[in-house]
Amino acid sequence: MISMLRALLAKDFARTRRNPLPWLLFLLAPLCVAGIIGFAFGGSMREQRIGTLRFALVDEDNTLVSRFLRSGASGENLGADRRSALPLAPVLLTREPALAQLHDNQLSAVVIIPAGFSDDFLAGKQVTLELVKNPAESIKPTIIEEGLGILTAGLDGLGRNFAPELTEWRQALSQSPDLERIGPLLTRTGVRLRELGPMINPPLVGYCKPTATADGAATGGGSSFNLFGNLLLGLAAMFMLFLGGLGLGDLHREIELRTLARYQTLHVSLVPFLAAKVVFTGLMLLLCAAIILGSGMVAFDLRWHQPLPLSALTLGYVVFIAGLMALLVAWIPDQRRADPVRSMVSLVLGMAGGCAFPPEMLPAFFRTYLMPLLPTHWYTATTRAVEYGGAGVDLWLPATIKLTLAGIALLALAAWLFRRRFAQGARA
Amino acid sequence: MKNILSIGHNELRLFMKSRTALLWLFVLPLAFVALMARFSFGDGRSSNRFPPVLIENADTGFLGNVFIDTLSAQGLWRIDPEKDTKNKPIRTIRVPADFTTRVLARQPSNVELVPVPGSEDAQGDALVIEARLVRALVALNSHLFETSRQGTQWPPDEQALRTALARPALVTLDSKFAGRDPVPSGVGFSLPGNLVYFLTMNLLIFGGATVAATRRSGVLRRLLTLPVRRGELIAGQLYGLWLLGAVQIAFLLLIGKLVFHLNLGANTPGVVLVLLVYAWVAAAIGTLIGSLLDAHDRIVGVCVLASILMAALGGCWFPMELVPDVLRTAGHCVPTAWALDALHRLISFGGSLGDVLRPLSVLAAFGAAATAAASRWFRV
Repeated sequence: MISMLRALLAKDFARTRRNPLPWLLFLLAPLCVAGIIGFAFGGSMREQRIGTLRFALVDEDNTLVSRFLRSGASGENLGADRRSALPLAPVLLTREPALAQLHDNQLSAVVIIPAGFSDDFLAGKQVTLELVKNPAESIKPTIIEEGLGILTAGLDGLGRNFAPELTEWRQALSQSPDLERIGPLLTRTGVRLRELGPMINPPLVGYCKPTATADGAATGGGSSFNLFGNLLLGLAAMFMLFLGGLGLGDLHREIELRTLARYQTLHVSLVPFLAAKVVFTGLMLLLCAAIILGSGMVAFDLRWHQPLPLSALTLGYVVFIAGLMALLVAWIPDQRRADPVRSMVSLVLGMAGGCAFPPEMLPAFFRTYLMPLLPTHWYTATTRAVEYGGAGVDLWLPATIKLTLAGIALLALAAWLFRRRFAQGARA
Repeated sequence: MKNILSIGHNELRLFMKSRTALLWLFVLPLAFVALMARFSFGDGRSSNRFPPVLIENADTGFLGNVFIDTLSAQGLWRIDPEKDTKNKPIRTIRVPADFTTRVLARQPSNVELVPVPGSEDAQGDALVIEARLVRALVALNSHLFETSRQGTQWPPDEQALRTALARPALVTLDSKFAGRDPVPSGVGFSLPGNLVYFLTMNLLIFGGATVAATRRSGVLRRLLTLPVRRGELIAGQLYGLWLLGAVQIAFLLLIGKLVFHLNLGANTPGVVLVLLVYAWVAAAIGTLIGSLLDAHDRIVGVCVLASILMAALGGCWFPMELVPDVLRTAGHCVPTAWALDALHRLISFGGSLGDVLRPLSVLAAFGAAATAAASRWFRV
């Protein structure tokens, strides 16, 4: 039995070596997707970067105040420590070309300082900044709008608290510069700012965020969240389903080429034959999991901090995949019918299990009642919790056992289906 | 011409007979559209959305409540987790117990912004919440100065602060979208990307697999014994696949309109034209792959990988606004990016057919090149 198993495994591995392309393609897919997303979000994915915020500034006011606002937006007159952490790339344009570029999808937004803005603001009248956003984008225009929201809140505070000084400044600036008038005004403004100093620096009311260490402690001590690693765990789980289908789908070929029938005519038990396929698929899947997760370490500088739980969970998941795919072959022996079903089952299980999308984005009913029943969710949620949530053995061991038991149950069901089919005289 | 139509119609009939093909063509794309609609950021209205936050106010004085009202005025949506189980907050704002005491004693006090566990993926909303918090803090500090400046004795009382809070803002922001208002969100935002992705995947896989299978089974050779020319055979295969794409487009647009109340604006004919041209491109690529490869597993693998890469590079899965210029340029080497460009111009910007001539021309060039290559390497 063992020697037959060994011979069958050797045959399957030799065939895979001769035709590795299908395996390579499904191995490449998760790496390519993760690579593209990793590159899209800034290379290493250690930080989630937004990219350059490209927007146009239309200064229809063109006064000292609007020029001050313009330079504030571009950060050109600010020290390096006071510049925005976001890479801003404003361009100065007039309204028509700016809107034309926006319609051509070259800009995220157009900020318009309307004519008379400074005059009205300094006179204590209500003023409005205009923002025209790119409808084909959703994130960058949001950031620009929120930034402008902070700016308008600041200008509002300035207008409320310095109304008399601003009116005087307006009068002083509207006429030819008069040092006798500007001098005392500067002094009064300086005194006023000094009075407010203790309330401004630091502000009376501020905010703080927990540091990364504190956060890690709060969530149980897992390593810091890494979107790329999070994504790769999910994609690996999904594409391992496809790879499992490739391994056990080979049984279709054996049925079609009548290899199983020949075995039966020799009165040789089919158990070693089927077991060899399951073992072959399991070994290939373990190899593929190692390649996918290992490539993440090499190509994207990822670190898997919990190798033992991750390996145990992957082993359990491999048993589950082998069982599921064996059951699908036993259920639908016809390859033409089985192929789309297998692909669809893999895709649906992967998507519904939260492999490709953040589980939080799925409908609440689905998340609460259906998702916890899916083995793909057991694997992805637990591996993510182990890597980034600091989950312990009380979480990963039960999940591993559940995955393994589910796999064994599916394998038993597949074996029973095979036996029944052959007993009924189906073409082996 | 009659032969081309007959072959194409027969191909479509065979596709439609397969129940699993129907699932791939109709059910899965619909599920994806509905699912990915949840990823669209914002609700299409001209102002940014109000993300939900949880507020833990331990303050025993009045200032904590004034601060919470300032937060609401600056666009933060406070939810009660006991009453509202549907909306999940992603950040908690904690107001310390000695908040009022410290501030009235002119000692700086900080509120805490804490992530809710499991909200790591909601970076967009987290950013909006932080920005709104900063706005509220700027406003509250400003009101504190204002009340102290107006001759009121420090510390200011609650009434004075609330009066300042109720006064209309001197500086406001008028935010709107270019083009249509409201812009597509939800299904309207997710449908173009998903439609292009599923057209690519289905036409590549079905096209490649069908051409190879009909060749393997000898059907193509037998067809050539009839009065059918090689060119008609290729055109018939392409036409059948294109019809399949057209059926999928019609189904999804119709369901989008009837079930999801999808509003394509005034340019539905333009949208349909772009999608039909794209269906030709995908059908030609599928036929080309089927002409070049024989083994079923290889064809499926190549088509899955190609469609995934084209979808990711072209912007079907995540917004291209986030990617670096290099990747955006690379994305335009594949037809998906051009199709999405054209669809955005029509759907999001409300553009006319004249606005999409360039992306349409590029798509047509892709289609012509793929058709020429498929004809060159087509084997019977």
